[in-house]
Amino acid sequence: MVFNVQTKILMTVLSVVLMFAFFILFYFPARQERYLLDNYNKEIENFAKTVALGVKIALTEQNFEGVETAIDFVRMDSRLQFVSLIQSDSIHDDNANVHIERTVFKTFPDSVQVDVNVESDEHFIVKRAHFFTPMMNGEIMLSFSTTEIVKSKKQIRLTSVFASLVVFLIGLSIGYWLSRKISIPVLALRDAANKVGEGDLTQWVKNKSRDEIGELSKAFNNMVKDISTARQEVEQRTQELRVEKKKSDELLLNILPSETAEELKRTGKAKTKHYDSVSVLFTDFKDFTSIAEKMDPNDLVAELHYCFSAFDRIIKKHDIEKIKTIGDSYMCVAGLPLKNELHPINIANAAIEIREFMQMHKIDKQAKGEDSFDIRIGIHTGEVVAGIVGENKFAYDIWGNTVNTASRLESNSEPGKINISETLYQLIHDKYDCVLRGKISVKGIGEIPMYFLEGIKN
Amino acid sequence: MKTNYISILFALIFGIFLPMSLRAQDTDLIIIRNEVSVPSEMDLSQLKSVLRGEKYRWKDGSKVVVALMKTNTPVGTNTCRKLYNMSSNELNKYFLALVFQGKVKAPTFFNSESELASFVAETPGAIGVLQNVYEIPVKTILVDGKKQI
Repeated sequence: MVFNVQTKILMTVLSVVLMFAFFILFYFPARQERYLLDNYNKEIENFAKTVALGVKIALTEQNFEGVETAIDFVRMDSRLQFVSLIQSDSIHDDNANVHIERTVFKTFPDSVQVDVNVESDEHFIVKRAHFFTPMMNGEIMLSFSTTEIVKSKKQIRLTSVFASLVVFLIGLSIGYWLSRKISIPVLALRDAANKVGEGDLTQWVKNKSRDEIGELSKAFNNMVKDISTARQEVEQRTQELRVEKKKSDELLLNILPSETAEELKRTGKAKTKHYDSVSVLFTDFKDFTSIAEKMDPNDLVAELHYCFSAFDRIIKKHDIEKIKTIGDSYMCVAGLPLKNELHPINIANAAIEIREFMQMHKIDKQAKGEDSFDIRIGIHTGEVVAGIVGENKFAYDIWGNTVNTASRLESNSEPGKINISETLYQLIHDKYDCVLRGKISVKGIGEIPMYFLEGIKN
Repeated sequence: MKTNYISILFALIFGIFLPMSLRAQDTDLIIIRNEVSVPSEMDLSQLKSVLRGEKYRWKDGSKVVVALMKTNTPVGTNTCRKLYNMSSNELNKYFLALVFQGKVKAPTFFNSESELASFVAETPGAIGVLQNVYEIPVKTILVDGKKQI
């Protein structure tokens, strides 16, 4: 059985109160009755002794004032049943044996027949006091009624019952008040703590008392306030971290393909991966160096940024992965990091759009009387290995003969032309117009057939 | 012979002093009174009644106060015999019984007649028994017309 705090406090107080009430109800009256009875016995005994002393003085000194005063005092007591003067005489029988014969000399009131051997019982208390004089030996025997004692006992018990009842009720009230005073704030603290545990940091415990519970409530409120503040700070920091992470992720995604970036974040490294068939595209601006020498460097960089930004948008639209830019060269690949069977089409469409963008841009530049670039594009399809190497400044890259061949195709292209390999031609020639250029010698590779990709077939 | 002389000597002593002794005990008693409330004359039965405590108050309502010589004095012994017809012990027991039952106030006993006379003279309603008359302002009671009984 589980008791709550209020019940426990109430039970504790009631236990103490009950013990005290039982003490008042039983032990206290028993003690009082015993004390009362002892006093009563002593009082009667003192009466008897006083009368006996008075008798002794009267018989020896012939001074009756003492016995008169004593006996008057006893006679006036309403509790008196009788007072007897017992005379003791030594009797010698025929066998010369001596025995004491006790006879009643006088009794007040004289209507009472007194047995000299009477003893105390529940109704009377009998006390004796002996006296010895040359004239007479004997004893004073006093009998007092216990009626007053019984009445007093009843009064004591009644008072005890009333007092114990009052004590019990007061104790009960105090216990109830105390248990509520303690348990209510404790229960409020418990409920508030539960709600705080569930995440509600708006909890506030009202308690103005200056005791330990009040201090506990104050500490609880401070704790909740601190937690709330800390939580807000954490949320703010978390939000900031989210923003920073988003920036970081976006930055990372700008550098790396999303799959590679995820793998890198998850494992701390990214394995290189082999792709059987991808299409690699290179661009380059004809006479870039000579034109660049005539341009302001800032303008040059702005021009490159403008063009490459347009390339970025185009290849993104065609699901092509940008690899890098090297000077005026732009390199991208279709078909990775996720395998894509349409990579020849995607790369062909992107190349056509890039060429068209540059043609339009050239027209604009010429209209402004500015120098413009002629673009050369080369594309090859084949196998590559892609991934990240090294530990710092990660850069997603591709390696393999396909990359070299694509680069050679670009360098063997012509301004405004898209130079593609035999491999790519075979994959797209049914949908695109291509013109055979013949076999062209490529450094380090030998002669390979090349085609100009003109456009999409009508 | 010597024995006869001693016997004669004892006979002379008893013959002379015993009657003297008896005469001393039989000496007449004088009843004195306080002049307030106490009558100056009464008969012997009235006197005995008063002395025995049978009469509590005088005619004017004042309390009767009896003063006696202690019974271990010759006057006290004489008083017991003549007026109470009791021995000393009987007198004591008599008054003890009365006092015990609250029926009477016991007499006041004195060791000397002068004290007794002074007490009676100073105590309204007092009556006392003496053997000698002193030069004190105390009245006597005529009992059966006699000053001494």
